[in-house]
Amino acid sequence: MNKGNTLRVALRAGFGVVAVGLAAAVVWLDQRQRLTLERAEIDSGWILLCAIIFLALFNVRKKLSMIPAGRNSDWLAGHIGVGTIVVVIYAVHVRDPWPSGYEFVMALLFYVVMLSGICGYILQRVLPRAMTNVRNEFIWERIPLELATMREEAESLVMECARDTGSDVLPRLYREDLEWFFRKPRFVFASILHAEASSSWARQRFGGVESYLSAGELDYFERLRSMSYVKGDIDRAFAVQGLLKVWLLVHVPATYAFLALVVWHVILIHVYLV
Amino acid sequence: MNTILRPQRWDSPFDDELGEEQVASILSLPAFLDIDSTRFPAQIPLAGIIANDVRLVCFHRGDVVVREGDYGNSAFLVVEGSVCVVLTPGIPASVLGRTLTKRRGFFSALAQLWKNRNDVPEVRHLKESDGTKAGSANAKATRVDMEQVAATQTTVQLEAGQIFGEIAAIARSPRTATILAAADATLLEIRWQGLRELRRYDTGWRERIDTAYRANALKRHLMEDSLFAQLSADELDKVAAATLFETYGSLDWNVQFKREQQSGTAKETPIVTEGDYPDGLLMIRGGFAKVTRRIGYGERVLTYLSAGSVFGLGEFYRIWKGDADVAMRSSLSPLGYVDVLRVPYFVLEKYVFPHLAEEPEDHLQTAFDRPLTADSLLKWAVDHRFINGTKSMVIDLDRCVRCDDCVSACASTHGGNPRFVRHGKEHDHWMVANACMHCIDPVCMIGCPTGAIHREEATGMVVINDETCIGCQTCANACPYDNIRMVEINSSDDTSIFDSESGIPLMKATKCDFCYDQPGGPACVRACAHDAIMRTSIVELAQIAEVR
Repeated sequence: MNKGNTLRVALRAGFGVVAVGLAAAVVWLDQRQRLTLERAEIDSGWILLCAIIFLALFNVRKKLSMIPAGRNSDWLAGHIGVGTIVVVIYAVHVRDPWPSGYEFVMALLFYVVMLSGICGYILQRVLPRAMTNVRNEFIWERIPLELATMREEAESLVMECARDTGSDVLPRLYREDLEWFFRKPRFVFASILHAEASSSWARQRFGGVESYLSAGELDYFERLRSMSYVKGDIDRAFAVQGLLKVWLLVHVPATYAFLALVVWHVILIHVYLV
Repeated sequence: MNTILRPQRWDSPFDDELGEEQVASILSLPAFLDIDSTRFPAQIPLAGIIANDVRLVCFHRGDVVVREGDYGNSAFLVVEGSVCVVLTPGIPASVLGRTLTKRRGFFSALAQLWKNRNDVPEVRHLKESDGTKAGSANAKATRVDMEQVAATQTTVQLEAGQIFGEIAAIARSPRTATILAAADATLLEIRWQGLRELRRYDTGWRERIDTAYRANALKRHLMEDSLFAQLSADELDKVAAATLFETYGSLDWNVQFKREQQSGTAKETPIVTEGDYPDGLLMIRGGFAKVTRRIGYGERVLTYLSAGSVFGLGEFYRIWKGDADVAMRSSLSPLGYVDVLRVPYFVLEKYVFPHLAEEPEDHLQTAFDRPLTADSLLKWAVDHRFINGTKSMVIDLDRCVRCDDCVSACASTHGGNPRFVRHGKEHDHWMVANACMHCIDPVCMIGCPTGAIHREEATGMVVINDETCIGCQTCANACPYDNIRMVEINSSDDTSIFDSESGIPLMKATKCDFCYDQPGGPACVRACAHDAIMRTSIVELAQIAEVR
């Protein structure tokens, strides 16, 4: 490990210790204030707000990639660490897991943000390896183009086969099954759980007609079958990459909604209670 | 329609103020008198080269002309006065006052947020080239105490008519020595592109450059090697006289490599074949060579050698120890291009082995004893020549979540257009993305007619001067890794800029510049939240791969 990495690991560890210490301090302060009949929620609330703002700053940091404000990986480590202690501070702050009124919506949004964050973390740790095992690497934005190109190639291959051999077996297979298969990503949910879901479907279709083909058609058949396996890889890439993006579509908007309610909450507390 | 004249090679002369009289006076120097100007093509006349690719630079006694380790894009001819080459022990870097890369300040970096428009990429202002120079040696600001240099350093004096700096210029490598003005001196600085043309079209200059290159490189390299560190100057001269300088392959090896990549067949003629009788210790001076050993019906890549490596020392040591039946245990083949020094056995017997405390370690046997699949990464890197990269963008696919934050970060720091493609060749869970690798041997620089693509002086990063790039695509075609992209340039009102004569859209070459002017280093690495991106060499990657 080089010097820079050692420093980063040390900083992360130090940050973790501070975060845990902060959480412990909040718990201790809350206990003490409650025993002395003070309004413990005020202090823990402010600390919670600071921590939540820190968590939200990670998204701002991502947008400001041009400034030297540390690596995003360090920010993510901080995001996860502070996110964990925020759950503890939140529990201390609210006491009641399902409050009433607008606070119920706040609590609901908090749980959505928390759970989507946990899910996102797990997905980001697990799914990259699943994608590495796919034979081909596909860029998300290029998938529609890849599919369109593949579809064109498949169609011209089938037409060529019909012209050259005079047989309609492959064109019929294409019309009845493969046209649907090549049109857009298929087996999205199945592909997340089972890497070969899409390819298995194609293998079954191809296996069913292989015995009807003449020697002249076999070459076209094999080329089409190879394309179907690449299509299987595209389906897998689409499903997994889509999942890696979609959790953020829950996490980030829910965070903004939660922050809006937090602002409302702070105003109400300071108008009516403090 | 936005139109400007297509930029031309000599839009930005090396010295704007070089007048016709000075050009004539330069052409009357002995070094240029014998040149047959009719051998130069009409579009690159000799007078044109002198008017545009050279400049006269005056130095005072003690001025640093070039610093050891700096990257240079030019050679020098001593016109008047003299300079001295500092050999040993070398002047400390702190005294040399190395040029530092100018980086943006915090607010300048932040301003890119609104200045770099993501909706209109590659915006250029509608103006002709402003004459910004390609990278050139300009170390005049620093002066050292020549009395102290004379007292503490071994130096070699170069007088009027002698040429220096050609090693760095030709081999696209760092300066191998610091050179100071020994007296007030006038030097003719020749841009690398001009030097190339002189070498190409004039036999005398070709011989002059090649002879100086070989002689200077040979001695310098011997001196730097620990095997010869204990030798006196006389002994070193004798070793140099007995040593052969050999070159295998071509300096523009990328052409053949690309051809081989397309055809899928590689033609390699070994320098040394396994089983041969040892014929001189081979010292690699530049380029790359691979060491292989027969296994089954194939050749196993044990390692690759680059500048500073030696081959065959173990075999000769065994001969010296009295083993009569010694044959080479591995083959050595050039990887594109390699400069080799061949040191005869009698030199080793007389000057090297008596000083060796113990038998040289046999790293090759250690490599051979590893499990067969352990060196698949190395073999892959050698086959694709990724060994050339110093800052390859390697992505750990097991960590990468394909979020493209790296691509967005690159675009936001480079005019709204990313300078790399998150796609490339893969091995296991490693991908070398299509981003400039800032090669040890940047062959992209070979054909650039204006010197727009050059090494940044202080860091050695390969960068493109957008002002002097004429969009000729030579660098993009030369890059063996397809890491340079041509982009159409736009005006700020989102319309393409066209050549006013041909009506064709104007293009510029773009590539990763390693964010050399950005505070905080490469944006792609900083943007990755999963530590998936590394900018590294293959040697470092192999070490990381063992851990991950």
